[in-house]
Amino acid sequence: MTTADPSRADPLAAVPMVGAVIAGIALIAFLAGTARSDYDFAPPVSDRAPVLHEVPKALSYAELRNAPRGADSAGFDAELASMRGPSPTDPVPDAGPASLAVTDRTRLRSFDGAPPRIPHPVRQDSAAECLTCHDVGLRFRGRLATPMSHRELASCTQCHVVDAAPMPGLAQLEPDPRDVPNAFVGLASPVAGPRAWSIAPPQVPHRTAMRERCDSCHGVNGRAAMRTPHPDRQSCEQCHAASAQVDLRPGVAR
Amino acid sequence: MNPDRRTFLKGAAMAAATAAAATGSAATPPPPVEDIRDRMGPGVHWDKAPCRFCGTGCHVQVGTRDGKVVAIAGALEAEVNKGLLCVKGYHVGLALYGQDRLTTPLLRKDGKLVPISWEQAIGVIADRVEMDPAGFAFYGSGQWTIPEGYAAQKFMKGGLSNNHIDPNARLCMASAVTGFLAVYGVDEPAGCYTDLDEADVVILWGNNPAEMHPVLFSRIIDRRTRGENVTLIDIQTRRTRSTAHADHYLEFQPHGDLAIANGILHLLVANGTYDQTFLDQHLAFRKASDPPELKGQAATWEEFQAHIAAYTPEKVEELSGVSARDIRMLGDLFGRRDLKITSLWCMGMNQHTRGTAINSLVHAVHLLSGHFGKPGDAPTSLTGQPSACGTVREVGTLAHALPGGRVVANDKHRQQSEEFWNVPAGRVNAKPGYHTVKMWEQFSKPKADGGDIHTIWVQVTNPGQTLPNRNALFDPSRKDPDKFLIVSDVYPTATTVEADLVLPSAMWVEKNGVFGNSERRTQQWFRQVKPPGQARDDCWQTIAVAHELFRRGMPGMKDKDGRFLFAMPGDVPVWDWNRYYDINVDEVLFEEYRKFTRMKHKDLAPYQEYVKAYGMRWPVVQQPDGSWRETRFRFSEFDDPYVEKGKGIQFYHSNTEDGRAQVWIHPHEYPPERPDQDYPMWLCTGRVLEHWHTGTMTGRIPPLRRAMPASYVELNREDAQRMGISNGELVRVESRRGHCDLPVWIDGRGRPPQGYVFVPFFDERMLINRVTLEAHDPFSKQPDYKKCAVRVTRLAVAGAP
Repeated sequence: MTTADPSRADPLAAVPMVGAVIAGIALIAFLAGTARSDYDFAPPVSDRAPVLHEVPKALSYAELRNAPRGADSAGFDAELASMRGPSPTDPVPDAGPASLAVTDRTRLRSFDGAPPRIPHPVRQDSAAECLTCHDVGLRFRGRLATPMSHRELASCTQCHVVDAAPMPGLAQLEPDPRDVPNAFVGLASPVAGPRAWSIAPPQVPHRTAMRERCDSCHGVNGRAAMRTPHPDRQSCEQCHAASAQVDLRPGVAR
Repeated sequence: MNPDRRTFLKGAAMAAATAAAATGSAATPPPPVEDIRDRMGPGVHWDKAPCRFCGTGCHVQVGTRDGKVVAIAGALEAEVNKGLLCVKGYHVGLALYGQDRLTTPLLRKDGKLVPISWEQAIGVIADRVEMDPAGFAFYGSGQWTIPEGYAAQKFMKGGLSNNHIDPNARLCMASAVTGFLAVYGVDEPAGCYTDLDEADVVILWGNNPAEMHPVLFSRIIDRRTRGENVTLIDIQTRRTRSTAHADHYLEFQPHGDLAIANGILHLLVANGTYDQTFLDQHLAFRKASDPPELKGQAATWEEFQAHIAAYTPEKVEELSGVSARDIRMLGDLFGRRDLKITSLWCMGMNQHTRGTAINSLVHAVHLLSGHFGKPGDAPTSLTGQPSACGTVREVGTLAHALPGGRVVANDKHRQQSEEFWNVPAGRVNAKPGYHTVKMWEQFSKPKADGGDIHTIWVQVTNPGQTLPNRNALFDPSRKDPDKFLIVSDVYPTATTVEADLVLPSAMWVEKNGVFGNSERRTQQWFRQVKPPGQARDDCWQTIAVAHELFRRGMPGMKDKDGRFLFAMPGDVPVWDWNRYYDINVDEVLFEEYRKFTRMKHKDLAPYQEYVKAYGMRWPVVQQPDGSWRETRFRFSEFDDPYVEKGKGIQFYHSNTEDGRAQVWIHPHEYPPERPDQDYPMWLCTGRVLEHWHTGTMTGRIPPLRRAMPASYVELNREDAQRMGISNGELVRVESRRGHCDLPVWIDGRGRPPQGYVFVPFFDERMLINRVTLEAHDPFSKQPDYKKCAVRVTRLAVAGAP
């Protein structure tokens, strides 16, 4: 997907340049992201909904026939479209090296295979709300809720914990003597699966347990460089074989 | 991965390339076949281990590279967790790498802990033992591996003739043990986790498995997403994460569980819905004896009926706070034969001054209703520690016990143990030693006042944070120059900072080990990385001290033939650390221990069988073809080989020696301390998902610490409004024994009712066990951390910070 198609001519002249810019932006964003110690939950101000200074006028049925979503139909439709995310038939943009996207994933994971931490506050006494956004996945105002890739597991907070203190009043406490650096270095995620020959479909280079939904990471809402270039194809395992050994499947020598 | 295999693959690739080149079919040789495992990082070796944390006993796959743990995966083979873990389990590998690991022995000199050599440290312990062997005590743990606990047990009881060895599990599941003994005559659950896959109804008795046994909780509720129906009934004193998934939430007053169980028994009899056949064939009745003894005295069906007649649903509502309607709902459920019902409990019923009684009553509910002995029909206690069952209950590292369900007070049991240990007759002392609370009382009391324990060696636990009423049971000895505290641990803790001698220990996959989980499953693992600095195995530490005493000529360290108590095959000198792994000491000790396990039909297979398996549930019995078969359902003929043909169900260790289990008569009683005018609120303490017990390990795992950085007090919103307390404000929780200052968290993780507060005990900055009560159950001697009276006061009256 990072290889340019030679049959398409003119627009590609700009690809290296655009690629470099995107990679540069991604790198800056990534470095900025890693530098943050706690998560900034509020979206950027420019991203917030405009403050309404007056309540919109209620429409008559006759008016609703022409503007079914009220006076600001266009804005509503645009917001709705952005929540739906790109369509599987949209062209897939080139988004720089996959390694950057893979490294970006590690921000919320201790090692490859660790459950990602939750980058936003959650209700502490229930897991019921997670599925509101993470069932089919949702894109909203620049934030992405990935679709959960193990639908049968219902106790979300058993594995996924918040990445910032959930309770108030911590500033008054003395420092925790156990708050010491940890020297653990986690296994990195694989970047690409091996191919049997140059254009053979790559094998799945990572474990597949609890990752039964490929579109969770590789779908149209995935990190740009990890997206499949052919999101219209739905049966991933048909061409991309998982490895019993990488999966640590029972009875397989490791 | 196997390096030979990797070399072979590369060799094969080269051969293929050579062959291709020879036939001239390719201009350039194809690249060597890539081993896909290298994509996950070259050179990662994967091996199994049970998780280090709770009593669930999940198996993990440990990924190691260059001598370090780099990844953890749920073991797909493991029947317990089937590849799933909880957030602690996924991060268990990080527990090894906190920067402040203890790496050298430390001795307190002029008030400061200073580094000393291992030889000096072993010598200091030997001096303390020699000074007065009878006043030396060992305080161990349900996190001891089976060989570690066995070595300590043999050293104390088979070597020093000293029974002052007791574990932290006394604080954790002792009442479950006395419950099983009183009812079935033998310890540990008859059912297993398979019940959770089969039950139609699961009842949580004061239990919050969504946080404490998350993988088991998922095993229940994930059935719903697969389209199965399972009704979850949460009988609790406060709302928890488990409540969020429950169909029914029954909130009871502390000790109301005694009334609820009696109320169900009442309805079974009143409605005639008890199981008459099960009663006729398998049950007898029992009541308290005078003086009180665990086995009590025989009672009749008529006495039982007369006792429970008073526990009408309306009376139970009055005693417990649970509505008569909900009591009838429970009575009706147990009265149905077409449902399978599993009860789960953990600390709520065990940390209870009537722990033996409530355990016995819940067994009685299942037995009288016949909800027993079929997959899905089971009363099952869960344990909190990874080897509370394996090491404490089975190896018997308790003040009154010997391995394999034996007790020191029994002549025959002592004699058998002496034979297995090959020590002279009379070596094992017949008098039980001090149980945990008594041991620390005697250690806290000055010698002149009869405090006859002068030294305690603590391994794999943190009593400075977990003993109840710490001000009375832990602090006094720290000011008494006669008292000497030795602590083996992996990180600085609330205990090590007060210790006189600190020994750095190896942990988890830094050593070989065997654990035994909540469902009778024995699990083995091998050392996969080396411990840091001079940290060494706890088992080695015990053997090294024993050998030093042997060298000095202490007779107890010799067996009948004058050989060292821990002599190894081939006379490998394992007390020399450099030689410790020349032989698998775990295997030697396990095979010796295995001889003890037959008497109570807790048969274990040879060590090598566990190397191959992801744990096996005892009794593990050898089959005619030589293979070893585990037992899932004890006392049930269809699965348990020790049940006689045609019996169906047989309680073959019955206290009445007639194959019957005991249905106990126990009344509702109020707790020893209840809220009053001065201390108007209930205090309950416990755990949270992210931290395991005192947080020594999980507190050093950054993702867990970030998710749960500090302890707090859960306060009801109305109470907070009434007292003018705002969320996050620092308050004082105070009892008659001590106080603890904590921030308030309203509507956070749990939601207590009015007049009730909850505090987790993981945070060593906020020691809630300065507040708790040391009152304990008369049989199990287990203290009650779940209820005492406190008052909550604002610290900053002039507004919240």
